[in-house]
Amino acid sequence: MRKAYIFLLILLFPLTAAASDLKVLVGAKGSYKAVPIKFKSTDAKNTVRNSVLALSASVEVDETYTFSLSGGIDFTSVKDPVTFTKVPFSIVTPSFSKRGLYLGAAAEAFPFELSGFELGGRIRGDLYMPSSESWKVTLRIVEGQFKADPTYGAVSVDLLGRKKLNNGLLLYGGFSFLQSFGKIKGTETIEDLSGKEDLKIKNRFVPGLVSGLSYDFEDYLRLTAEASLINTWGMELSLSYIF
Amino acid sequence: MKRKNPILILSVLAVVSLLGLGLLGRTNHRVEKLRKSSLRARIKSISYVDSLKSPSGNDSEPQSLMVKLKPVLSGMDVKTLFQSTGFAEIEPLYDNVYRFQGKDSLVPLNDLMEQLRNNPAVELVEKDVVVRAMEVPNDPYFLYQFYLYNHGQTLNLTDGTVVQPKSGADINVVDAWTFSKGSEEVKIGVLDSGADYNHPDLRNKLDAGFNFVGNNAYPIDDNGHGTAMAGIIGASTNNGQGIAGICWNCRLIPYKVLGADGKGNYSNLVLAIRRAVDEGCKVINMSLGADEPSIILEDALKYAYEKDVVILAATGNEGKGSVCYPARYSSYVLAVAATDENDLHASFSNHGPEVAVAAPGHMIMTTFPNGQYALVTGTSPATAVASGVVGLIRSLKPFLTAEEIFKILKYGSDDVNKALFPGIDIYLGWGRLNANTYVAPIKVE
Repeated sequence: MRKAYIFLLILLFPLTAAASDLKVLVGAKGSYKAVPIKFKSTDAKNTVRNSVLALSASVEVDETYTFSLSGGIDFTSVKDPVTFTKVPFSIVTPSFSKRGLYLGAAAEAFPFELSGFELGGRIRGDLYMPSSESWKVTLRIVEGQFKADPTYGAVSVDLLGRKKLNNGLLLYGGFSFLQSFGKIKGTETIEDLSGKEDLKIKNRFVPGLVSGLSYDFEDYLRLTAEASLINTWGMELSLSYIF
Repeated sequence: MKRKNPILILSVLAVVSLLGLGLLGRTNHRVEKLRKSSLRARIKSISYVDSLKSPSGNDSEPQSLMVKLKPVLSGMDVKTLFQSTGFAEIEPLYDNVYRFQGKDSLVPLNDLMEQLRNNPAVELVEKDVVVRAMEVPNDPYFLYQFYLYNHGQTLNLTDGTVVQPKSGADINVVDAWTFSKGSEEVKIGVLDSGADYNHPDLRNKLDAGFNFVGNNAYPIDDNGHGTAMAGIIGASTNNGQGIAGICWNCRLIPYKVLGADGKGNYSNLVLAIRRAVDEGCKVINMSLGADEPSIILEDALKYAYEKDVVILAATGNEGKGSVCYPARYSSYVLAVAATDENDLHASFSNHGPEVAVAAPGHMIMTTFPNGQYALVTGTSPATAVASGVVGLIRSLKPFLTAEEIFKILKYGSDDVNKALFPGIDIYLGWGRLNANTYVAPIKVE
């Protein structure tokens, strides 16, 4: 852990060299998000839910710029049955949930000030890589297999405002625009007959609202809570140690 | 303020994360006899014809559950009792039976079902299965097309014969039409005795073909066999007239290779195969056959197969243990045997290791020249049934190769004689066609 800390400092050194106030935060976060999606080829709607537990590292410069990386484990759930219309035999899967890896990155800046509010924005990317799920394909004569490999991610661009209250509580909120991407790759194998079909997600930037609060306990522990409403709701809770 | 040990705090955070992950993992998871064709011809049309007297004339996933509660609960506030189960709405149906709406629930319906099954107050839980209107065409003779939809209907022939087919012995095409009714992009070459271009159930379906017998551009049917095959494959459907074709929207191109006597020769057949391929046919129906092999014929079939054309041919009607040519060239051709209205191997249908699949071939209602309709029997109509089904597949999935379609028919057919011959056999091949299995999404669990 100590080596990782030193490595992170070396990595972020160029960004932070000129900073007068530099904070490094290392912690853990848990989040839940449900995002409505639409598949390009079939126009079918569905909802992807992600529950994440991750470790995160952030660098905060002058309390204005923040860069974060996080990695952990995700539990992706595809809420409704998914229909693959192309593979040799068309397939409809039940809803399914799989565990996998999660990677995230975010950059945040609040360079402007207006009537006591700091104004800025955040760009955030999340990538979820759940493991594949398989089912038996039962035909009258033979039995085969169908495998679904989901890869899912989202980029959000948030326009935010924040204000630190006298008691140290930092409140923030604003508009969020979420772009989902990814696909579910379906592979069918029945004896010597096989086929593949990619169901790509075709979401455009979906607008929503985001708000949160952050509080530093005794200047070494920070608790952050955030809620979002983008068609459906999401939440994130993180606890970080401040170096 | 003294700072705490960061390594200790991070370790605690990591342990909390892993514990939380474990919890997450646990919470989330279907006549009158008019004519008999000469069956011993060099190339012969493979069917008998009988006429019938004219009469006048997929978001299917359940989103809710049906739940029967134990009688002791009657009068209780059921909504309050099940408030915490995650159902968006609970509404009474009758007595102690309720509908539990799970559409907007965050928990998968199967999990909610399991939860309710474990609840001592619940007697019975069932999925509120989605029903849909069956699209049955309005063609008046559809009633007689038990090869398309066999619900055990009684068939009264004009000679007094009463036929009582076995319910379910059909190609399950009514369900398949929900997913594919064919496409005008798919052209089916009908290599036969031509077609009646003026037949009211065919005139809007036929494209210009060629007459190899008369060497002209007019493949006029002077036999009746070709008109019958064309009608089975793709007669105008849902037009309030006559019969229903299998491939509603496919285009049919007649290539006349059989004369008025129902006979022809290989040379014209070879020319017709090549022309059909070159004119864009993606399916070729050959309800004909002979007993002699031919390398030139095989070359033409290979040419078609390599151009990704699905070729279907009849096994023959002699009831013998050898399959006719061209059906016997099973590397390039799907050899189609016949079943009867009871899903049994038709006694006249030739058998052999080349048989790929079977289709109904006994008393098949279809079009006949001069605006008539007739019942035809043989491996010819069975082949035409199969061609219509392949037309549906090609329309829905144009990206599939001929080889893949062979395999789809192979693996998706119903092994109706499995009690006697499980798996592939020399009588019905892989089994009787089931159009719905080929085109409808298969539910995996």
